[in-house]
Amino acid sequence: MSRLAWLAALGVLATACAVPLDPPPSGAPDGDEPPRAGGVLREASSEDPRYLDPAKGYDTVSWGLEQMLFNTLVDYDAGTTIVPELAESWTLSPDGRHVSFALRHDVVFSTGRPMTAADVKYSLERLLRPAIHSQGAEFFHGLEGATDYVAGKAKEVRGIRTPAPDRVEFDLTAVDPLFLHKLTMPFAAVVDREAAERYGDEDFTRHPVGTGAFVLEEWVYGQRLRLARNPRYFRAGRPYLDAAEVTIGVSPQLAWLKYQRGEIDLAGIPSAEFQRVLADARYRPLLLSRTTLRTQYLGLNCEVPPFDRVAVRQAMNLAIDKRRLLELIDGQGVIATGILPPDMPGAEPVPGYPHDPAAARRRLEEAGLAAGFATTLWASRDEGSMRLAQSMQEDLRQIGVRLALKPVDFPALIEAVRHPGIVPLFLLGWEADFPDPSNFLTVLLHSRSRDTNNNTFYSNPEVDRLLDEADPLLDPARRFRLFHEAEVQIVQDAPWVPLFHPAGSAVRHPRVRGYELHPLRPSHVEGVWLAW
Amino acid sequence: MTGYVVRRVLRALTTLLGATLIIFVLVRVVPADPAVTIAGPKADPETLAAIRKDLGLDDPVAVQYGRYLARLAHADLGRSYMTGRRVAGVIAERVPATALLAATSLAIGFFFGLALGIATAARRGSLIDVAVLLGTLIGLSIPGFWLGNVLIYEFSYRLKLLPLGGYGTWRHLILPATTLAIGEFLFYTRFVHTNVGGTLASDYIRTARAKGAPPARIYFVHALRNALIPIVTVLGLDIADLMSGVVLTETVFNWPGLGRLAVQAVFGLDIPLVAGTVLFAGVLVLVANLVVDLLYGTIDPRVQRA
Amino acid sequence: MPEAALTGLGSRRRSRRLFAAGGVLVGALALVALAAPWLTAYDPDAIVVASYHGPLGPGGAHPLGTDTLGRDVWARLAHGARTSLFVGGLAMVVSFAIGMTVGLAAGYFGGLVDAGLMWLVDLVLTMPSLLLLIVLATIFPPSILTIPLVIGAIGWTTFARTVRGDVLSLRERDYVQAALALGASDARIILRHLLPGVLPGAVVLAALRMSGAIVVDAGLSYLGLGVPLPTPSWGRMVSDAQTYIAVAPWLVVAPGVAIALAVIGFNLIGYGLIDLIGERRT
Repeated sequence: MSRLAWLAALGVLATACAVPLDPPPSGAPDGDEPPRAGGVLREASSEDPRYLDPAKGYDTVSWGLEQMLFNTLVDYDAGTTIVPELAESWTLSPDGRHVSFALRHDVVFSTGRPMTAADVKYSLERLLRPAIHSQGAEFFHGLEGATDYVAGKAKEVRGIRTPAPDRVEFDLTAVDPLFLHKLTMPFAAVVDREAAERYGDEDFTRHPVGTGAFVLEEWVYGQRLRLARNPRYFRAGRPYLDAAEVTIGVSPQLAWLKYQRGEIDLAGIPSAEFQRVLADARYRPLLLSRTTLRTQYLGLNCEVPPFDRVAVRQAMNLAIDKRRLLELIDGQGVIATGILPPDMPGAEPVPGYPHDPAAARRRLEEAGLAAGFATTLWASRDEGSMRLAQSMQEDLRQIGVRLALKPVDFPALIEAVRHPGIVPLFLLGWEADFPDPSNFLTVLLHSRSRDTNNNTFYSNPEVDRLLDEADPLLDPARRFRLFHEAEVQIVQDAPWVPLFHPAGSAVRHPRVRGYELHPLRPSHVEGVWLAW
Repeated sequence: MTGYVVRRVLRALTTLLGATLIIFVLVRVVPADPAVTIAGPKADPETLAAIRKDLGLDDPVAVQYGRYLARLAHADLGRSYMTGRRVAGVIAERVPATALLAATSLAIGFFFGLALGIATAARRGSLIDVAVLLGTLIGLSIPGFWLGNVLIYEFSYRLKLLPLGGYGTWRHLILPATTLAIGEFLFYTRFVHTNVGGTLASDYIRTARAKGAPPARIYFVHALRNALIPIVTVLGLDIADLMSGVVLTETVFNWPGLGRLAVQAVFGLDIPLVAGTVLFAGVLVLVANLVVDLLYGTIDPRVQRA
Repeated sequence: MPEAALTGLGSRRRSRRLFAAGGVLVGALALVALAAPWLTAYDPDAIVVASYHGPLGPGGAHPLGTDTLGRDVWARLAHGARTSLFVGGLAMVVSFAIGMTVGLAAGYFGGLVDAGLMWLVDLVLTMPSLLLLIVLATIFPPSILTIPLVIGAIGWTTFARTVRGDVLSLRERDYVQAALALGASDARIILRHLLPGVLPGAVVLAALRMSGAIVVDAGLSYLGLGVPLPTPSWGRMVSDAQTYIAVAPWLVVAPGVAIALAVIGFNLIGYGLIDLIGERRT
């Protein structure tokens, strides 16, 4: 009996040793050869994409796939410059309220039907339809007649005109310096009207038909998704790949192992492995990283006590140890003091709040909550968020705030925060859709966005006024100055605790070429090719 | 025999009714505002009003229950509030994976447990008896989810022989099935060992021995047949516990079955999906029990005469 | 597994050894749980590393290393013992109370009461316990009180069946028949004559239920549905460390061993007791 016990103990001890870091798959990571056509790009994901319908998807995964299936009138190049896509050229009227696009003549839908201006108009009107509940509709309410259309008073949006099959013209109610940027979002993608009408609003996501470099070949829910090359794509020679395949239901750990064994081509680096991977020379040529225009933050619901009081919100800001949070994400990013990421055009440093638990306690006393209070933090169930949440839970315990954690799935979380009165405190991030402060400040913190993305239900008429004044300004200097003023005021009102601006990173298989991480959008797969 | 069958089926139906009542009470009656509980993250006034209307939450409870039963009869388990898909459809997709895992684990565990149990069936007090008792006691004390992780560590990370969770080929089945099968194996070993051992000690076996019947015949014909009856009984009970083990194992190995679905539904705040999955799992167990009991009826002559 | 026929080792001497071994394990567990604040150098919830660069291995200031947040593992393990014992104990008490009541009532009153209660037992046994617990965890917000109550509310069936069986056989005994004939009240008969008779069996089951409750609680915590953070809980420690198993396997091994030892301890006590107190029927 005792010998058995010893053996068992030894077995347990033997198990308790770490496994050394395996090398990445072998092969030359770079070369001079020209792009090669063919091959299947293999990826993995833990869940199905929420949508393939561009009117509905508003998350990174959905956007990445929608970009492969659809096109927009204009798009970003590798940076933040706007370049033609479905449109060949465009002109802006002197007063800035009319934009006229000349469309390419060689674009066809994957079904073979040529794309015309009528399809562009149809797609945007579809986006605006209330029945579709799109979170992107608000970006296009500035079109003439959009509000009437949405209210059901008009059968079409008169601000979208199609004078010829290859011309689309837009009339805006006010000058909008961001209009072209908004047209690069997948919300403005051109969908095939025939397919959209045949499948209806609910099912188009399973049968998406667009003009993109790829078509949906197969989607077995919970198992795999396969996008195949569109032979009719208007860019000759693209995409290089025959297909892209996503295996679904693969946890990040499993994806990492599969990557090491060469079974998939792209993967994120699990937190557990991060330090060793960064220190390992074998992985260096295969690392992809970028700074992002992203802010991770704690949202405080300004309509739910005790967060309806400024002093309490400020106390929360003072209590959080952001340095430790940064350590927990392996140092991949910078601490956030304001709302805007530092690389955002127009962003200036905002002093923010230091880590000062004593000051936090004083603020609580001022608010009459010297004994502290209890509340619930809603956060995504993934491992990273849970660790951040526990770190903050510990910070808040020091000032007498008893935090309960409510882990939920990410889709459930982003749905729940939209409804008033449900979520008192949440941990989320926001990534810029276009390089302008309004994409953070107006979309997330203007009082009229309370139905869409202002999940803290923050409302300050002075801030609203500043944002409204800045929006139509074309001169960057004035624009950014007003936005900065608004940001300073917002930080003082503290509806958020800005935590950090994360950097993104991934690893690629040595055979993957032409894959770059883009600051604003998921990577463009049509330019990716496989060296073998 | 037909009387027995009828009684058993009737019993199963009333138990099923009880199960639906439990779920119904938990989901609709207990929460302060069931509409909010069911709506989950989408609790805006429109959705709430739609739910109230749809479920008739203002009607008396008995009427609601009746309507609920009527729906169940049509296999309408409602719609998942996160994806909008029919719950019954989602469940149907996941059943094969769970069935495969449960059946494989049970078959392996039962077969090897039966074999070892018979092989070690000995008189009480012997060393083997102690070894079986202690061995199974210790083995069964090890939590299954931990064992699963240890197996992944050894076979997927270290030795790289088997895939790290997921579903698809027979190789994916090995580790999860082994994890569950070990528990089953230990349990049946001890159970069969004790019961067969007990039967072996009984009088009529001694008589058979005294008459000079060969030992093998004694074991397999007399002892086994009599021991089979309690074994078959406990098999029915075990299936419910097996389902619980399946939930944990599916989570450890990322196995796309009903258990993992239920857990995911909880964190998706998707009550219709949780309730539907649990109810369905209960039905599965009931059906399995019924099958086992009917089988028992064919084995036990006392029943056939009734 | 269903708690099947309880047979001991058949020898009082061996059973005493079993009981003693179990007693040592459980005693050590209780000691650690009670004395946790004095046995550990750190607060289990506090992040004690000056700066975090991944989990630290065993050795030095941290006998079992630090976890994925920088907390001392030994402190969490020791305080986790408190959680396990409290949840297991309370759950066991609840199961015991319900099971005894149901078993005594069913066995004594018989007839419709018995049929009804046994139907209830069947019902609870049919629903896979963990799944039912999952539903309950969704309805009732988890806390250190609701979790054991919920576990206890599911685990009383073996108590009920065994106690009922004991009552059925005890009922035929002379002294019970005499009391009945003398017109003693139901309560008196149940409490003075039947209860002492069923107690030995029930105590054995109590020990086994304790181990069962600890396992169930560990499973619930592993799924993320157990006692809420940051209260340390062994099952949760396993799931938190799961993704680090290749890099820091001791984070998974330590809580797993703790769970196993606790469960073994109570099981040994239970099985040891079988032959030590009163007669058992197989």
